[in-house]
Amino acid sequence: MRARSPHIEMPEQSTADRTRVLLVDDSNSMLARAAAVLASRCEVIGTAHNGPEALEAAAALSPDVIVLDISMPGMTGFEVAANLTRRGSKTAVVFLTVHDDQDFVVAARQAGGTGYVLKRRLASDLIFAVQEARAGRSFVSSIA
Amino acid sequence: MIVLAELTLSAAAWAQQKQVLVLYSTRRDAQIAIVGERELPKILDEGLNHEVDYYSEYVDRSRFPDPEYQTGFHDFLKIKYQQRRFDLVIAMDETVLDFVRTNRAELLGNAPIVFFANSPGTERIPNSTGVISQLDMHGTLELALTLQPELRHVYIVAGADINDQRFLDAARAQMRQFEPRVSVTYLTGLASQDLESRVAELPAQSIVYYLFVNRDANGQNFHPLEYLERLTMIANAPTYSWVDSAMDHGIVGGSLKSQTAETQELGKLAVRILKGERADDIPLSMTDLNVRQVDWRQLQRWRLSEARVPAGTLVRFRELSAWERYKVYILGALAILFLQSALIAGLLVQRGRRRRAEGDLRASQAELRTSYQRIRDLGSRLLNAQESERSRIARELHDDISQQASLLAIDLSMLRHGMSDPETLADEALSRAENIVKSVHDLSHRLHPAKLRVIGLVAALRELEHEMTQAQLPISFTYENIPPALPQELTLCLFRIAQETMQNALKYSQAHLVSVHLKGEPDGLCLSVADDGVGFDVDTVWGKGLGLISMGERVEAVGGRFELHSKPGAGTKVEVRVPLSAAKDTGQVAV
Repeated sequence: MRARSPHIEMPEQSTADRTRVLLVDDSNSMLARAAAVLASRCEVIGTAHNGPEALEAAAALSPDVIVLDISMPGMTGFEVAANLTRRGSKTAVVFLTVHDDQDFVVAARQAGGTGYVLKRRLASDLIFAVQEARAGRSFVSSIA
Repeated sequence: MIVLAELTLSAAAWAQQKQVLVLYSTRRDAQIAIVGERELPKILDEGLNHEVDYYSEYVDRSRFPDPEYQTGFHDFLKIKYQQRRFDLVIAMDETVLDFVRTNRAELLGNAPIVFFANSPGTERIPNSTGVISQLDMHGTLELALTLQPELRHVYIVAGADINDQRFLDAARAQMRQFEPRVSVTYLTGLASQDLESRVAELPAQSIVYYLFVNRDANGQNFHPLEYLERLTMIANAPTYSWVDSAMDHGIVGGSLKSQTAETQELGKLAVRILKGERADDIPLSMTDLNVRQVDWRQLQRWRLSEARVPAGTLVRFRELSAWERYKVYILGALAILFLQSALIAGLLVQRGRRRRAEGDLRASQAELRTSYQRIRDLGSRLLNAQESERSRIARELHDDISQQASLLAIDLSMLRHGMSDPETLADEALSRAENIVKSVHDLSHRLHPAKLRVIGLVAALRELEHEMTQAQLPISFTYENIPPALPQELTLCLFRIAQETMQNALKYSQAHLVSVHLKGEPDGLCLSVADDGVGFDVDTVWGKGLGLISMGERVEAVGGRFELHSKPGAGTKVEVRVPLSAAKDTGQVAV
């Protein structure tokens, strides 16, 4: 796979109460939607399109929260999360996924995830999940 | 006197040639005459460089005993040979020597005489010499006693002719010393039928000693050797004799006078005289012309042991055994036979090998054909399966997802144009969109479960358990000792097998429960799927179902082993073992 450099958006001004978020998804549209939803309350400090980019960006930016897609080409979101945990990262992980499945929720938790948001509930759940994650609390979208 | 003068004149005319007359007392076809006529001319010719004028006459006294005939014969010779002056006269036996002695002056002039005699006491006449060889009846009887130690009776056979008398005297003289150890009976001068009936019924431990029979008491004439042959056929005891001409006429043998040797001895003396020696200067040759001999065939006939035959005895007419006679041929044949056998054996072995090889070849060709057939069959079925799967997906995309997406587009369009209540439209559009998401997700899941890749085999199997249970097939899934990370290749393989097996169970087994067990083993994984359904005959189904074949192929591809156990009425169990080591490293997945 052709490696792409992470596109990192540097904040104009850092505000102490704005949560710094790294968005990871292989779909640009999805990244744009998520960024749009989060814009009001959070600061999207960077985006990445795959696992390795995500790890690179996370190491460089130390975001408060990383919003992580699960099904990506190459490394899965679970693998990225597990990797971060192994590195002793303090970044909270919120999974943003289409997998409407309890097994995935369990696996996400085992991988070190704090939040679990279904993509179709992005508009309603993501901000809350990110804020909860930053506060060290768990949030899971309601699963069918 | 006139006659004598003429003879002298004639002699001058024939000076170059030596004139020889040979006189036989026997008939012309007697054996001694045959041998003499064969040997003597030859010896004389050789000794005198072919300058011999040879005559022979046969007195045949046995058949013509009349004194008148004798006178006539004398006159015949006188007339016949009046122009001849013989350089030598040979008298072949004592009988004819008597004739010579009596008629010499008148018939033969003063020709030197060479004679043969059996009796050592034979009177030597002037201007003569000769060969004397005694009949060895003694030696013959000793031979008989050696061959037949139990011998008690000797029957001496002779004819009624006067010629035999001298032999009888000799026989009597020589036999005397064996009496009384053996009794000697003379069967002489009998009528032939009487003689024949006697010899046919001789007592045990007897032999016949044959002198000769020229004539019997009834005046019937015989050739002595022909009669011997007849007699030995009839006699119930072995017959012996005194002369070698009797051999091959039914006698066992004896110490037999060699007629050839006798003739040769006479011939030698004749040549010496014809070359100029005076007959009276040559001493009588006292030679033993007897040769001890037996007829091997007669030994067999009378069951006389060959081992008893004394050393130095000539064994004649021995029939070689097949081995002795055909030794070379037998050995040759055996060698050829052996070579042929070896050749045949070699060819058989080779043929066996070739047949085996051909059999193997045929078998592998058949196997190949079957495999080829199966592959073609499989190929076409795979294409069919692929086509039907594609059409199923296409149908689903078109009938469900495409329809819903169209409706969503319509809703959104209506919303944009404010054609209806915006809130209701938005709700409907949202609901429709979520349905689309779900449909696509389901479709994707069916094609390839994300859970398997993202979470792992156990989670995927658990979901399968859940799905199948929902589809009215109760599944019990258990697992133990599963390693934390597994190659994707293996997890996909095992998952597909579980999936296929469960589908089969759902379709065919009528099972009430399917037990799925996944177990980590030291060097691999074992997945077993067992149902309590109706089962089937493995041999009939194996290799036919695409599902079974593809399961087998999948397992083989990762170096594993696929086992299918089923019997009608006894459920079905699939057991798959895959090695961890053999799997290609295509990515590790958490369980």
